[in-house]
Amino acid sequence: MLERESDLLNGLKNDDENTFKIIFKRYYSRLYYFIFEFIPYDDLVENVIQDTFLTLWNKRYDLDDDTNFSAYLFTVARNNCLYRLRSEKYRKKLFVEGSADSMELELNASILSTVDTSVYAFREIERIIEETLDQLPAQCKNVFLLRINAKKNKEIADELNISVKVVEKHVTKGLKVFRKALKDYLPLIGYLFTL
Amino acid sequence: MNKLEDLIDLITTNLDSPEKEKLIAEIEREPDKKKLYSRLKTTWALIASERQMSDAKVETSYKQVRVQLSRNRAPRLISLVRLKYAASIALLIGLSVVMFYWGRYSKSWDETLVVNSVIAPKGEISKVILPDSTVVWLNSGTTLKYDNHFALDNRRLTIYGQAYLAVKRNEDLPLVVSTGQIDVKVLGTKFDVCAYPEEDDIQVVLESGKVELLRSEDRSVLDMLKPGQMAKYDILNHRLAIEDVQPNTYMSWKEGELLFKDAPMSNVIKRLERRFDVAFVVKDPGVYRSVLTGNFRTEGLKEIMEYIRFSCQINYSIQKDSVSNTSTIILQSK
Repeated sequence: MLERESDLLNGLKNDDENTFKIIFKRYYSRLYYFIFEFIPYDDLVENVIQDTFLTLWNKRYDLDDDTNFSAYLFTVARNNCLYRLRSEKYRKKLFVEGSADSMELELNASILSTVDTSVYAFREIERIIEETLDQLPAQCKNVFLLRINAKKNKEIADELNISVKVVEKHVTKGLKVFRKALKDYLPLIGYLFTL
Repeated sequence: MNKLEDLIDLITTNLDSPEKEKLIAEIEREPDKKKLYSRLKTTWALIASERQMSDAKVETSYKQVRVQLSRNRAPRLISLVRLKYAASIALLIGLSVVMFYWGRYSKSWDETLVVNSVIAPKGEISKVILPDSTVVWLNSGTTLKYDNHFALDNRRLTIYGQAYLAVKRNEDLPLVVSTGQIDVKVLGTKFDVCAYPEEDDIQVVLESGKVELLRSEDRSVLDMLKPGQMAKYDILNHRLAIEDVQPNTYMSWKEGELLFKDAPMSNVIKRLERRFDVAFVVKDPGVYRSVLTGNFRTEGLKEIMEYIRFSCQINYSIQKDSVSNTSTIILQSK
């Protein structure tokens, strides 16, 4: 089993497609959902992430020995994404200029451009978030995950076969934990941004 | 209302348009608010990234990327077997070129003809994926050539050495492998061509599909092959013979296997020279009287030589030249 980053790196440099597939499977969904939060357009995100992996493959010989795949892929995905959004044509295709959605996208793009995707912070935060999510009671976590999925309370209620009232209760509870956890994260998250 | 709660509502898409516009305007105006929003948004995105997509969706996406990998690039050389004595880098010559335009761009391709060569050096077995998705395995010491119009208005390959081809089907553009003496014309098949210049014959073994054998000179049809058949063309006498064979045994080299079946020593020596990138010196002609039968997969050169000493009437010694880092094997009959 290929597990360590250095093994994966060696595999890549030896043109091993299996290694490439392992990396793809490990990071695809993470990158997709991360970018999707900033740019909620399926096709665009799909393209951005696929291009990200193509870049990894095409640049495999140039990768440094201490490459951290998570950091590398997040960085490439972020840059790809910003690059696309710079294109006038793309923006026109996505939305009407001046609408609330377009304002939000502008805002998100500017935030994405300040996110520092350097190694440490990302891994650390991923770990903390995973732990925090696991601390939520099962049903509360489910609701929370669906909520992240941009589902409305009514849809969540239908999907989990519970009442809207119960969903609201879980959301409030989840948000409380979320907010408390955020408080702890804040000093750490500070590292994510360039000054 | 709590300002954090507002921001969370925005992030979790629970605001209506008018409220949203107002809040975004606020965020853009107030740097502190923007900073807080940034942090929340990023954290939220990271939380969201913990979700798992269905395996099916990941797999579908991977397939799409996979297609682009084989399409976008200049032909890629994959070293399948890193042999013990092998130089680790396969050579790609003349590859600087290669910008392949596909189907719809086909009107704008480069008019100048550029020939690309792919070489599997001695000691290496390589795999190449051509622009039309045809896959070619190259045995040690093999050269493959094609021009920049490949897959556009021709599918012509020239092969010196041994290659196994899994040809992508294209009825409109038959693939033609030229060996200098005979051409092999196919639409979409799997077959093996063995045409080393230093050998006296050319072999074509068909695994599946259909191939036509043509005389290179005038492109006249010599014969057709059916799956499970081998064509052997005698270069000196210009004679073509067809026989039934076990195709697998002629193709196992691509998995790194060395298979000898009643092989004359002259043939064994040539194959070992290519495979292990060594030179043989034959001290007396008695060596050539032996034939070898054997199947080697993971064995190194030394083990194979021990086997030859054991099963044939041949002694050997290995001389290493430390300056050029090459080995010479001296053979003598017992």
